[in-house]
Amino acid sequence: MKTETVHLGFIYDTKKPLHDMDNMMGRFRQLSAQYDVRTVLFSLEHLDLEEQTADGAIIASDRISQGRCELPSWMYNFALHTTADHIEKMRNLRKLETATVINPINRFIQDIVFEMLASLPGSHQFLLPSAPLEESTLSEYIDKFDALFLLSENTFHSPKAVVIKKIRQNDCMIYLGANGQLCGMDDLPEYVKKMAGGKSHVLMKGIDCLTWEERPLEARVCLQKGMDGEWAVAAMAAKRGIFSESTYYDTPLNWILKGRFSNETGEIGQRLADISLRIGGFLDFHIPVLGSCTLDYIFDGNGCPYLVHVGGFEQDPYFFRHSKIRMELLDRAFHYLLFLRNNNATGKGAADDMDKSSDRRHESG
Amino acid sequence: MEPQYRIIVDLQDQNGLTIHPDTAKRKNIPALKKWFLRFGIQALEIIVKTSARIHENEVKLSAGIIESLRIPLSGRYEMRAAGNEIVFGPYIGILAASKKSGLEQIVQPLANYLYDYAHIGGAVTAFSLEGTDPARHTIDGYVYNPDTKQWDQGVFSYPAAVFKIIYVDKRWRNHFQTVFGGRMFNSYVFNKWEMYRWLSQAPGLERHLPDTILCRTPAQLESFLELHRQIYVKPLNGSMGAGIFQVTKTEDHLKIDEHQDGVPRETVLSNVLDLAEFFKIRLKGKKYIAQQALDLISCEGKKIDFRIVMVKNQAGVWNDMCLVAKYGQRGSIVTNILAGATAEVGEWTLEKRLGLSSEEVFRWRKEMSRIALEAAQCIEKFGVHCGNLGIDIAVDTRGRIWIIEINNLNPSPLFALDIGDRPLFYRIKLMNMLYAKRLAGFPEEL
Amino acid sequence: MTWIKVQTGDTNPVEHSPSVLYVSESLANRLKSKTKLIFGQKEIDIEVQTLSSIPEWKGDQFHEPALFRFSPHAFDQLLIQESATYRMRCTDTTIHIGPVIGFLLGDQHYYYHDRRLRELTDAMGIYEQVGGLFIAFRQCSVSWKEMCIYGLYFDYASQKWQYGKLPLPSVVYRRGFNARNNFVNECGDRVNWKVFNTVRFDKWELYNQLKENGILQPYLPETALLTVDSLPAFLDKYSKVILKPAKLSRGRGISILSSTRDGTVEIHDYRRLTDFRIPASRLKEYLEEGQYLRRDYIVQPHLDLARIDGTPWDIRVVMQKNRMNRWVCNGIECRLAGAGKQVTNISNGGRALALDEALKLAFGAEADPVQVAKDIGEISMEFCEMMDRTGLCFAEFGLDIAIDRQRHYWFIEANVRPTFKGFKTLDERIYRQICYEPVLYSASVAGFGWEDSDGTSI
Repeated sequence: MKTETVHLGFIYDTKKPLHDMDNMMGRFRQLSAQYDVRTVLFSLEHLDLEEQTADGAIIASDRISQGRCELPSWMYNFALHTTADHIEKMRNLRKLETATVINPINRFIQDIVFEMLASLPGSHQFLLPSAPLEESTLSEYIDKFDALFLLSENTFHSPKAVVIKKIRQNDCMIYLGANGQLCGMDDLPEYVKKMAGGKSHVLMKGIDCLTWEERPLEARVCLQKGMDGEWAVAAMAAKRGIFSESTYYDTPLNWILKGRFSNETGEIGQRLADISLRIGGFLDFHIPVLGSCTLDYIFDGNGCPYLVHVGGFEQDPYFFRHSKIRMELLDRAFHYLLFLRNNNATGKGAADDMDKSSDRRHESG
Repeated sequence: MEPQYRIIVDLQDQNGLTIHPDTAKRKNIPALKKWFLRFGIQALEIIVKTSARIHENEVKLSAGIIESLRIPLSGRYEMRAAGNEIVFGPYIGILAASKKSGLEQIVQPLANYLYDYAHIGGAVTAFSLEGTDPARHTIDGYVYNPDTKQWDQGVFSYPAAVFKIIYVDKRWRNHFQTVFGGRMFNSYVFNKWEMYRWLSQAPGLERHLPDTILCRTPAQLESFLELHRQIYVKPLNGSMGAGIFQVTKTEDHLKIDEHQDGVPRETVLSNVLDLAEFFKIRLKGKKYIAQQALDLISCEGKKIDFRIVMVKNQAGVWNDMCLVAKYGQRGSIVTNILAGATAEVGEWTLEKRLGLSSEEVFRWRKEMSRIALEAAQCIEKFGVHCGNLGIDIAVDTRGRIWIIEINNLNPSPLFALDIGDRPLFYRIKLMNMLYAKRLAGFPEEL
Repeated sequence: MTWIKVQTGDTNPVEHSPSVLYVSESLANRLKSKTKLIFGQKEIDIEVQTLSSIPEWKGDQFHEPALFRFSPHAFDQLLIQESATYRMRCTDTTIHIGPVIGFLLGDQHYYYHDRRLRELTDAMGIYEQVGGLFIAFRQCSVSWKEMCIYGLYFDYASQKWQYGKLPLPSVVYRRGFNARNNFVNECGDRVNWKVFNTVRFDKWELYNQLKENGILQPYLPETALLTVDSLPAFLDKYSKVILKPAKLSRGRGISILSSTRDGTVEIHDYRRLTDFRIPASRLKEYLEEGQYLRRDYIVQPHLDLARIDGTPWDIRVVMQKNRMNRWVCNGIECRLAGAGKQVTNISNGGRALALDEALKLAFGAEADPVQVAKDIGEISMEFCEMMDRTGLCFAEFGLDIAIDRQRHYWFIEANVRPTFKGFKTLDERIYRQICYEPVLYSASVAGFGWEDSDGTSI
């Protein structure tokens, strides 16, 4: 088989319906033609690390064919890899000298990310106190706060949380959504221990959440780097899912907020965007080669957003069902790779520097 | 008593049920098997795991499963393996009102069905038709919280079995039959004419039924009056003594006796056409039956009849719970308690008023019970799923036993209180719940 | 050298200069002539003032540090962390606080956290002898705009690595490699920090360098770039050869080829589970199919190494710079290949042995462990000194040396920033020493050594 050369690569997951090949291929075909680059779409099953080749759909001058190509210098990972061999493959791909993969990992250990973010000056404005669940932190938090959030650290699935609320001196309620269970304060450590089952969980100070349709309102902000290499808000949506059964609301976030805070709607939306961009910029210092990240927030009664989850490239099919958002996500991914390619003739590694290109301009100017 | 399990939320696992190894052994739930978890009418595929980290009376269940099946966390559940399903329950719904507002008003007293929650277990919801979403199979209502003994509002999934205590129209009946089939009791509220026609099919009951017709024409009324001279006219669907008239035919006129707000009232009409017109107006055009008047036993001018409460238990067997005698007001034509009657233990009445020996009382009581049971079985033969019947029985001055009326629209167990037997009251309510528990997949284990 | 703790606070509401350092009276007397303060890469103007409320602690020992209180402005500028205990020395007008040492992390983890820095935490076991601010960071952690690092620092109190906004260090100890090797050089344009372990060796380039050294030359297996021509030539000469990727270490991507009498070549290919034979005429195709030629491969004779229970073994020598800036040998371990494996590597399922034990098992009483240790020590030392002459900075090497059946030494491979997990199980004390040595050396390089170099310490 002839081994072709391509410029850009996109890694998708064959098992995920959201990585709808037809949609991706159609869009990438247009973009590849427009920018005169050759592109490959492949899945990890068809990646050969020894040979540094991939078998996939190769898009070259408006023509799509199945074939083999050398690994391109710039790749973008859309997938969430969950099997041991895929994770291992991804790790080795990440360590390659000749190529850069954007978003090599699309899930993060939340307590680490929260700890990182807590070191960002001013982060208390959008970050509730949090700590990895341990006996000592539980007793500290239950002493200090009237309510706690306990979030699972399961990185393969969308996050879930229970709310633990003190109701009397000796009792508390454990809520999954509106579904509650009484638990004696003395039994709580044991109960939580059983609940956690030895797996990592994050404790967070609980607040009274702003609700919508009687459930805590969550906002999801998708950040993505694009044409200029800078973070930008690619999509925003109102949803629930961490504190209650998952749903996306078709009602736009701004409209929901308008109903609650008539005057400050624009302000809250803008604030969400500002905070998210700050977070994105800050994470770049700790996590290399990020191309997209998904931030979930809840709100307090004043509409003040608090971060509750950080993910990588969005895996929920919701955004991919909306053709406009899907296009935005695909275009930005493509444009970002293009940006990296145009700014780094040799490939590897410069992504980190390019992320801070504005940084450098600022410095020299 | 069957062990009951508290649910511990599992935030980590996606679709797992974790049980103690001993539970797995005792309940015959091997982890290797492909299992569905059933709660109410829904079932979801799960993966069973065992862990000694949790207690024997606990199970750990994935948050996603709890949310999809909408399992109230406050409950203590029994668990049974049946085929490839692990049934969590019992999950019982009480259909208690038409409107949400109506439910809100009556929901708190429904807690008296659950005084012995420990024997029932599981989740019990109370819901209204208005709160029922037939498309999504959800009910917006209340769930009984055994910790607080309060009803907590929420949206729940359809239960495994329904105890219906209100009247519903055909559209809803069809829906509930579709969803619940035989797992709803008091499924259909029959009227007096249906009752008469069904019971008259049973050879053993015929002689205990007063002659009854459905009045369609004045001519029917006339010939029935000709035959019996004194009759009762009752609306087809009424209950609790409302709208009952006694008509007496004399040589030249027709006398109508009724009670309006406890006050006796007499009307005299000259012919049967006027009589028909009178009922048309008074019963607002509704259908009515005419029933032969009986010469009931009485005491100091108060008519006496009896109520037998029949309830099915967790084994699905009818139980005759009590015999209550009701004394009508002096000169009254009805003996309904709500219409101002008083009550006493039926056996005592038999002994005192009829002067029976205790051996005779036993035989009479047994005969009444037999008639009540046969009536209950007969009604079920005609396609009505009952679990709770109030059977009104009377004895005439010649000592003949009559079935006056059968009430299956949540017959009030308040009779038990009228005779000062509060434990009986709760026993009846508990029995209702235990029968529902049986229907919900938790029959009494042999 | 004086041990100090730092703090900040609005001590004086009317400060003349935004950058004030408050110290006890006696310390102020000694420091009042100083006008500059250097911490890591940061140099600020400073005004030293007496604050009577500050106790007169001498700072002779780690656990009895003197107290430095900075005005908030100075404190923020320096990005100095309160939790650390520092050392302070002076030159004529300048106060030096430090050391500030950076550990440049590689691509081993996608992102780092205390839990992922066990080895560095082990190295911090020596903290009380060194003091200062230790920063773990990676390429992306540096903000050139703010001239700072968003990384992890060692918090002595909690014994944990914490995230923070941190100063640029004066010495960088490269702990792991990430794919981009020129990062360090590029940083050199912007900051004046000393970095060691900057490059990773390419086997071919290294061979060409080493063969010029008369002492080392006899220990080098003949090496050539793998080509369609070099392979048959080597096979003719040695009959059994080994193919190695020039850039990979730890025994990855290695194939072994041997000529047989019937003119075929038997191949042990790293990609295949079973060996196979091809006619010598098809070698070219084999190389092409195997993509050997697309990547940099070298060819060497396959050495007939000494064996223990039939399996080959080699020696890992850990050479490190000590606090006196001298190379020392801190560990020798022998590594036995995993059962049936041709390649000796602990990560390949092999096991570790002490040198005398290995020699005894392989050669009985014939080999003198003391002499062998001396020989390989000399070879290693020669290598290190030669590397120093290249002008590049190195702090440690993991050298792989093998002994063949004729007890001839062979120089197999040199690793910069080697892993030494084997020592952890072999000898905890040696492991600790190996962990600590670069820390002590780094502090020395940062100007906080143990020789009184400038003679102005107070």
